[in-house]
Amino acid sequence: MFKKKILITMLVLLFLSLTVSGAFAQETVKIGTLMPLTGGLASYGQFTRNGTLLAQKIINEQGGLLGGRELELVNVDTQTNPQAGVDGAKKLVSINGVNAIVGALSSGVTIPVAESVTVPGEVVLISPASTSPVLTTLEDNGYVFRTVPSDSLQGKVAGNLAADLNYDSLAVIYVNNDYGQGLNDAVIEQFEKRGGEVTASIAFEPNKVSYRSELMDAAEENPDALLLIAYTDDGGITIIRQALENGYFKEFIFTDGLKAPEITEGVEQYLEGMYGTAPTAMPGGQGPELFTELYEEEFGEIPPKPYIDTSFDATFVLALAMQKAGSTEGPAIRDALNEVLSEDGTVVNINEWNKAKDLIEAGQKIRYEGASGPVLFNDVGDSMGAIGIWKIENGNIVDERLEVQ
Amino acid sequence: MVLQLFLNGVILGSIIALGAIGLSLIYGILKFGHFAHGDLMTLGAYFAFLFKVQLGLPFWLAFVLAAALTAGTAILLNLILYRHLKKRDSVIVMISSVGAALIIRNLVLLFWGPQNQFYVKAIQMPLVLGDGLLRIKENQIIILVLALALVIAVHLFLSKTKMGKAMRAMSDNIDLAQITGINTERVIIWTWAMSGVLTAAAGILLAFDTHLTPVMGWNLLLPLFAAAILGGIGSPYGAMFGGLVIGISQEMSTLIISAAYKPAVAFTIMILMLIIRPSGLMGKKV
Repeated sequence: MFKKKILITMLVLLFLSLTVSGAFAQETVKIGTLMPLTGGLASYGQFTRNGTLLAQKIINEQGGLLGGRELELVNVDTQTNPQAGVDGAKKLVSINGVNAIVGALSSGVTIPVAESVTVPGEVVLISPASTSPVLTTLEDNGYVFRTVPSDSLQGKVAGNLAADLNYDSLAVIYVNNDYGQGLNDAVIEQFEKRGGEVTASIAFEPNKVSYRSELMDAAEENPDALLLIAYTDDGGITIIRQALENGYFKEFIFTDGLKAPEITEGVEQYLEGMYGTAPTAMPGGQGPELFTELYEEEFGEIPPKPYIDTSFDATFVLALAMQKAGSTEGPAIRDALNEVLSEDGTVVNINEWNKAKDLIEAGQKIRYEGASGPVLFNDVGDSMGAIGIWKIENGNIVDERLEVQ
Repeated sequence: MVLQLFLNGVILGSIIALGAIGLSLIYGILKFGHFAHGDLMTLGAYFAFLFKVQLGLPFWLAFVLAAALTAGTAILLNLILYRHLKKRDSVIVMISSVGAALIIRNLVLLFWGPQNQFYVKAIQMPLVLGDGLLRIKENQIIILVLALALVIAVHLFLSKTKMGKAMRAMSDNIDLAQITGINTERVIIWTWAMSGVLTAAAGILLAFDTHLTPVMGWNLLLPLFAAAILGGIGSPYGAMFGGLVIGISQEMSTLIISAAYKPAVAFTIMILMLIIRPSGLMGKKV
C-alpha cells in the first residue's frame, strides 16, 4: 500500500515537471561549446570557456537574440581527446539540439568532430583555436569556420624566427596529431627555404612519464635549438624539464600550445630570453583592451594564454549570424555568417550587441572589431589573422611583435 | 648511450617492480586481476603531494604517511567492495576493480585538478660520470636506493615472518593453507596493506623522477601486468625480476625502434610470454 502511494506521488511529480517546463519556460537559443576541462589542453579550457560565457552575458544583458530569447551555452568536456570530443558533439547535436558549436580547441579533436558529426549534420562549427592547415582544405560544405589563422602562417613565422635567431640547425619535436604534424611540416618548409637544416623531426605520444628517449634521438646530431610543438599538460612541460635536466638542449623555440606561464615555473633562469609564436589579435580597433577590461571585471585577472579572446569572438559572431538569419537552422546560420561581416561595414564593438541588432534590422553590414581584433572570414572560413612573437622575460611571457598575413 | 638507456631502464624497472609485487600477490591470493592498482599508485603519489607540498612536511614523513594512507585505502576497498564480491565469479570482482579505478582517478581529478604537479618545482642538474657517458640525477640515486631497500624489506617480510610465510602459502595453495590453520581473512588484510604500501612507494618514486598527473598510474598499468605475468603471476620474486626486465627492455628498445612505440614493447613481451610459457618465468605450472 505504502509503495503504491510513493509510486503515484512520483508519477504526479513527473507529470507536473513536464507540464511546468512545457508551459512556462520560454525557449532559449542554444549554442554548444566543446571545451577541454581535462586532458592536454585543460590549462586553456577553463579560460576559453570563460570567454564564451562573457559573450553570453553581454548578449543576454542587452536583450538576448531572435526577438528577446535568451542565449544558452551547453558545454561538453572534450578531454582533449578525439573520441570524447566526437561523443560530446553527438550529444550536443542529438540530445541538446544545437545547430551551432564553438570548439573544439585542439585540431586533433575539431577535425574528427567536423567530419563525423557537424558537417553531415549541417551544424555550423567555429573553432577558436584549431590552427591546423588541414582544416583549410577540409570538405566541409562551408560549415566549418575558425577565428584563428591557419598554421601555414604560424609555421612560416616560426621558421623565419629560427632563421633570424641565427640557428643553422634545428630539431623539431611535435605532438602526434593534426596540429603537431601540420605545424611541423610548415616550420620545416620555411626553415629549409631560409637555408637551415632540420636534423630531426620526432613525433611524441602525449601523457607519457618520460620523454628521455625522444630527446636523446632529437639531440643526436647536436642541433642548435629545439623547436617544440606541444601542449603544456600532456607532455610539453615534461619535455622542457627533461631536456634541461639531462642537458640535451639549452635553446628552445615554442609554439602557441606552450604560451602559458606554467612552462617556466621552477626553470625560469634556463628559459630566460627564449622565443615563441602564437596567433594574436589583428591590429585595428580597441577590442583587445575592452575585452581585457570586461573579462577582469567578471572573472578576475586574465592569464597570458591564447584563444580566450577568439572564443569570445566565435560565440559573438555565431549570435550575430543567428540574428541575421532570423533562425537557428544550420544552413541559414552558415549563409548568414558569410554575409553579415564586412571589412567596410559599420563598426561594432564587443559590448555593443544592441547596436549590432539594430544594424542587422536595418540590413546594414557590420565590421565587428572583436576581442581578437577585426574578425573577417576568407572564402574557406579561416579568419584573417596575425601571428605574434612572444618572449620569456623574468619568468613571464611578454608579447614582442606582430607578423600580419 | 647504451649504458645510459640501461640505467634509465633500471630506474623505470625498479618502479614497475614495486607496483608489480602487490599486483602479483593479490592475484595469487585473491585470484583476480586488480585493475585499480595503477590508480592506487596515483593516489599514493598525490597523498605524498598533499603532505609534502600542501602541508609542507619533510619528504620522508610525507612518504611514510602517504604509504600508510594508501594501505588504508586498499584495505577499505577490500572491506567495502571486493570482500562482498569474493564469492561470485572472479570476473565480477575484476570488473568492480575497474570501477574502483575510475572512482579513484576522478577523485584525484576533483581534489588536485587535471594539471601536472611537481614535488619540487625547480629542476635538478645531473651528475655527469665518465666524460658524459652517464648522467644521473641525485633524485634517481635516491629512487634506486629506496626501491632496493623496499625490495629487501619485502624479501625479509616474506621469508622471515610468520605472516609473510602464510602469505606465500596462501598464494601457493589456498585450501592447503586453510587446513593448516592459517587465518585467511587476516592474511588478506595484510596482503592489501603491503600492496598498498608498495604501490604508493612506486607512485611516489615515479612522480619524484618526473611529475604527477592523474593518469600516471593508469598509463603504467599495462607494464605492471606485463611484469607480473612475465615473472609468473602469484610469485613476488618473479614480479621483481619481471619489472626489471620490462623496464630495461622498454628503454633499450629505443635503440632499434622509434620511442613512440615503447609501450608496445611491454605488451609484446607479455603476449610472447603467454604463448610460450603461460606460467611465467618463476611461476608454478598451471
